[in-house]
Amino acid sequence: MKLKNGDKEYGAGSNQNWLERLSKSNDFVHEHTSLRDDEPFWISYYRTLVSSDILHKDVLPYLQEKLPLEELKSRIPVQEIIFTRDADEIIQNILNGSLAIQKHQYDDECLLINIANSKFRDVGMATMESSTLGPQVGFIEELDTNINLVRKRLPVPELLVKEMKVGELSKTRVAVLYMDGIADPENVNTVIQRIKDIQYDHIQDSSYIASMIEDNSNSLFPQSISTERADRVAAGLTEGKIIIASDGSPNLVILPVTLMESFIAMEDYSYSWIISNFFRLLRFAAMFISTMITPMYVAIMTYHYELIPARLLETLVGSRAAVPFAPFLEALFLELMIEMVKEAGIRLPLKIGQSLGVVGGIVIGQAVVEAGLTSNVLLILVGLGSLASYTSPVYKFSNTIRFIKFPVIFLAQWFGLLGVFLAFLITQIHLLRLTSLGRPYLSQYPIRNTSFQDLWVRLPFSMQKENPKTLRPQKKWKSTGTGKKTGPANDFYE
Amino acid sequence: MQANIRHQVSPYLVFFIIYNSQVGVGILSFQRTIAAKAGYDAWIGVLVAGCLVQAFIWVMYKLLGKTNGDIIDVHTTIFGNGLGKFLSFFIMIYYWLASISVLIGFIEIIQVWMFPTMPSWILSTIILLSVYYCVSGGFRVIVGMSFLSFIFPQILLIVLFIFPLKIAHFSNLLPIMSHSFMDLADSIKSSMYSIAGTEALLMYYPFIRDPKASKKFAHLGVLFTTILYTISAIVSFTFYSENQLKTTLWPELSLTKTVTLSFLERFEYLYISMYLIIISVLIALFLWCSSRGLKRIFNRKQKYTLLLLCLLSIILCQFNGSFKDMLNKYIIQMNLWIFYGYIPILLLVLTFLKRGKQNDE
Repeated sequence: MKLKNGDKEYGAGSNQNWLERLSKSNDFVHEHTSLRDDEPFWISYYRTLVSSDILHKDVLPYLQEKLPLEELKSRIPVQEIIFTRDADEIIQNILNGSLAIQKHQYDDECLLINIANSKFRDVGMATMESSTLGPQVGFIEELDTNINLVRKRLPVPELLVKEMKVGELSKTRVAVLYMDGIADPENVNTVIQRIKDIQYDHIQDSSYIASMIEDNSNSLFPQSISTERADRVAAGLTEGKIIIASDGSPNLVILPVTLMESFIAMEDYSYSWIISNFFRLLRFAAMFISTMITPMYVAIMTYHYELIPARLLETLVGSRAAVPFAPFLEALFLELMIEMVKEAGIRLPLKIGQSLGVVGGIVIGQAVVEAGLTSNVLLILVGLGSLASYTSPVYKFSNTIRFIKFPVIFLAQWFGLLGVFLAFLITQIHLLRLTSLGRPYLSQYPIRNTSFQDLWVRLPFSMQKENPKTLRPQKKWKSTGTGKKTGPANDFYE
Repeated sequence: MQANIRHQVSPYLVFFIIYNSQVGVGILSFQRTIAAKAGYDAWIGVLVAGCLVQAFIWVMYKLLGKTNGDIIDVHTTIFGNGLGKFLSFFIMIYYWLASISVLIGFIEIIQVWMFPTMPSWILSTIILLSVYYCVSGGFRVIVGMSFLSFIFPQILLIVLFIFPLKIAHFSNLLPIMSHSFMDLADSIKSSMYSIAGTEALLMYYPFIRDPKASKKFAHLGVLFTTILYTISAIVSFTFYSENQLKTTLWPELSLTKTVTLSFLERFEYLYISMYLIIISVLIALFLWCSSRGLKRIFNRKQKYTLLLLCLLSIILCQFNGSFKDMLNKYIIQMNLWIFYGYIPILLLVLTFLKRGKQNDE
């Protein structure tokens, strides 16, 4: 790591003073093991990091006898034991929950026994991306458990894990997972290189890494998918995608991705292909409804009310008759209010959040209409739009949809329908320019035949034969079978 | 000089580029201009013009295939560096003027149909800003946009033709060939301008991966647009009476008045707004050609040539009325003389030159 002038490197130290440096903290323990003063072992550890259970049951009993350190190493029934003289390594391991054993207080030689006490929640249901059918398990905040969940789904040696440490202060363990022989090696190298180049002092979540390594950090659109579902990760791996997992984060990052993948729910694969296609296209249409419907209302009511047939216009104008504001202000006010209700619902504790949803949605909404501040029709449209924004199975993407309608409302106020289409035009250009790991982000262009097997639509499994070509996978075929089923045919085909 | 493979596009996409470069504001008003003399027979002129464009495509592929580069390479091979760049400069100016004529035509439509009081410079600025964003993404982005502008709005263009057919008078078209040859020639000449635009190929040829394979897609693209223009002409002719057609400025836009749905009236608002996408991509393509040519001629960065062209376009868009007519007149002349007179001669010259060289060896 390159250091700037005046900065010191955190965590590193010289041989002599590691003990001194660690002793400054009150939870650091440095003590004798036996009462007899002639031949004691010196042990040092962080009280807050080690499991006292293991320490007392499995380690301390062996330290009563007088033994060389090498001998101890073979006796103590703990898996991870290192014998070292390197001060950096000692400090790192103690900080990760190891116990250091020395023969004399200022000896260089040191036995490091990993007795870390990791407290994490149990593996539970995926809460943000829940589904009615299919696996329910979600990742947790511990890296090894998460990799374990993925490995259980893909028990092949080709699944490789590359680990590295990122963050000057947090020293976060970051793992890159990919399938050797399927994922494009160029992509893998790019990801690993970009992660190695990160110079930021703390990494709290895998999203930090995702936004640091994505191609265009100024884009509204997430160029990677954060997921807490093990099945989504495993399915991505088989197609040649690359996964980034970081310790302390329940979300794994999938990349490269295309726009359309934000509309794919893992549940799609549990239904009949016809029904799942219907839902997939419904989600896609919902994105358009959510981003376009309020701007359209503003544009039409401000400039182009001739667009609406007379009878429908009666309804629209009638509901707006008592409203003293311009459509733009009316729409902006209501949209901001709904966003506020949503935001408060997320921040508040779960139980209060539910009741607030009812209060915000129904009571305030109805009151606003009765008070004559907005029209009934707009309330319906805004409600529909905000409902539609949550159909995307990827949470980051639904936030993009939530945000994107505001600039469109402004454009609609300035240029009417022309402004709405201007927004569409600029978004399309932006999406075409975007890349995810150098691969095109907008899946419509260029057309790939694999996009019609499982991206735009999901064909039956027997017809999803190839891995998506945009990822340039090294393994072409997903299925090599013919899709013919054995079993009785009916009399017609006999 | 072939472009970097990372910037090249697949051969089949040439279909969409050709289609996009041909369909602009022309399709909204050409029914009136072609019928000025040839009356209801003018649709034959469109078909003939389509055949001429097909021949022009063949000429361009022959010409560019010989040097495997763009028109600047052709010019420098024949005339040397100085004169070659000088001649190419005129073609770049043509591309730029063509883009301005599209822009002015569209701004006029917006001002007449949607926002009568909106100043031209605001409209030209917002369109050119998105065009700049598009062009600065590189050629692949422009091709992607022409692909999308084919998929999304053009479907409605075809749907539009169904509504007026309910009240169409097909007997208008009879008797066929009732006009003199000169009248028909006039309709060919007017439709040539509407379906012009394929000349952009002279600049983007090096950006096509495997250009030989793309040839059939280029011909298909022209075929598709010719059919589209012919259908559009026929639908207008069966819908309007001859005198009505002469006084209707944008026959195709007025056709949209027949579209009535239970939730939608005055379809033309949607239609014109949607046209923004088609127009922007067309302008982007022409400005890309022009700015890339100027970049190669003057050895400047494309960023600066494009910015300069955009700024000059905004200024020129301020001139309305007579300037627009004059511009259109010159562009029609330039288009005919450069691309149907000069370029075929260039092909002949290059062929003899190469043959001469082979004989020398």
